[in-house]
Amino acid sequence: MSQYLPNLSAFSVLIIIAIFLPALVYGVMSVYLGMASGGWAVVQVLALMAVTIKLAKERLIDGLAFALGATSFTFLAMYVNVPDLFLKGFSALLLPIFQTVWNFMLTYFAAGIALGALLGIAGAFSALVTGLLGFFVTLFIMVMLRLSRLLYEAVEAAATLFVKAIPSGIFAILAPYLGGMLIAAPLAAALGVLATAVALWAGLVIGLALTGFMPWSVTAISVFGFTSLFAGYLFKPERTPLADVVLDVLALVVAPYLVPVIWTVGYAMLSSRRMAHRGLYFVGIAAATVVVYSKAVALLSLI
Amino acid sequence: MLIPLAIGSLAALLLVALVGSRNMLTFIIIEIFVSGALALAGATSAYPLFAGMYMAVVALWVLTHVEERVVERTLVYIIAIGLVWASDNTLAAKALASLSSQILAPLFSALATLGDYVFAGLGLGSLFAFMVLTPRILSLSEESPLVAIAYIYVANSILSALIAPLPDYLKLALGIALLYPLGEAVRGKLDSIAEVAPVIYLLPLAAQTLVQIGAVMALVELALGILSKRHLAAAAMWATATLLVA
Repeated sequence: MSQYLPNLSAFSVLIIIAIFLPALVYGVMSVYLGMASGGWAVVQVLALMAVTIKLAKERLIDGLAFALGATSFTFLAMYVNVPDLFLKGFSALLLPIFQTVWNFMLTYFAAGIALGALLGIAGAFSALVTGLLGFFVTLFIMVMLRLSRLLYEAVEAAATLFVKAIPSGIFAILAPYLGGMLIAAPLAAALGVLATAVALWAGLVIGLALTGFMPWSVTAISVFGFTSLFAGYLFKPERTPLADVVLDVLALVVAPYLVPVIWTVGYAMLSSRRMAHRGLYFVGIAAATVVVYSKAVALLSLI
Repeated sequence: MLIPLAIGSLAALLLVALVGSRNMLTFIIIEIFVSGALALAGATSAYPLFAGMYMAVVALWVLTHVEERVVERTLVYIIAIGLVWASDNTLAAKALASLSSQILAPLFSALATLGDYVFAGLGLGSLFAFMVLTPRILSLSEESPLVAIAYIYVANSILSALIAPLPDYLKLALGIALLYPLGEAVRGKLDSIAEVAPVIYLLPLAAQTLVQIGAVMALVELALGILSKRHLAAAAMWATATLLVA
């Protein structure tokens, strides 16, 4: 798995500083995207003040180091490539799941073909069973959907525990990586489940077609099943956080002047025990927006 | 301020060295510094309020710690303390301050230069030196309170330069955060005093108010300094901080 982990030697300068002055690196990273323009900077100011007071309550020098990092030493951020870190974390979860999903898809595709062929051979009788079959396939997919939530919670818990365990200077550097991982979790689960379901349905339709029994009604039912499943899957946030992630990133892409606010507040939340997981999510969506913008700029310059 | 040029302090030192104990000499030296520093800051008016406390503390200490020549020694200590406060110690305080800062300054500058090479930044290097040396210096100043004076000087020169370019809202945040260690410092915790004393000017208060707070803290800690070196170091720190605020 080591190829998915970020190469920490790239940040050696920052890590040396983080050993002696962790709060300084924390401050540098929390204003990586700079201050927001206009009145939105007030939110950032509040978050920075909160962290400064929180750190200085324990040791004054830590609060001072944080304040200095957020203002005077922001040039240190040039040692960190946030889009790269985010993409590393993002692909760390997505790539292995793609590999396992491919085998899954082939198995269920074959099962679908067998089922469809069976139905086709049964002939006119199958029209009665189609409803029942649809129910069972939907039930199967609903069971699989629980995976999405479980996987998301597992990644969230693991990342939060990791953040709480390592020194504050190091987690400040690694936060975009962990945020990318957190965002990739629901996507990966969604892709896995959806791909399996699509393979099953497609196998079913092809199996029916192979045995020559494919009236329009069955096609309509299949297509309707696809679309309704897809829509229900995407837009039920209480069942899956996928819609949350996609909509949040979209909102930030539409309103880019809010990205620094979300970034700084996310970093401030990392210092709290109860809000650390939400902070990682904030950092993740802000980094995702930065990546979307950098890719868009690259594409536009290519054109 | 009745006796010019610290002649009274010299007499007090001689008196304690001849009749009293060696432990008491450090106390007299720190007292000379505190009185001089408070005179320089213009906060001598607080002393008469604490004179009775001194008498009581010295008498109690002699009664509990000294076994022979009790009355004689009590008289000598009270006379010595009175002599120190009666003489003009401003020159002596300046001399003591420069002497003690010369003890520590080379150490700091050497470590800060090393930090500059490692971190490639002047502010970063001095901050690194401060972080590394602070706990050592604090444990050292419990042994010899003169180091505490130098600690405040060096900390002030580093921290004030670092704090100056900060935006106002972060200065305010640091000032709010300062209330926590100040509360602990009032209860007599040396680590908190070391944090508060060099940056007390961050508090959004008038300089004259800060001088009064520092003077009272220094005098209370000086009275307790008869009991332990820890409080003596704290008294030196508060006197230096008062000097820097004024």
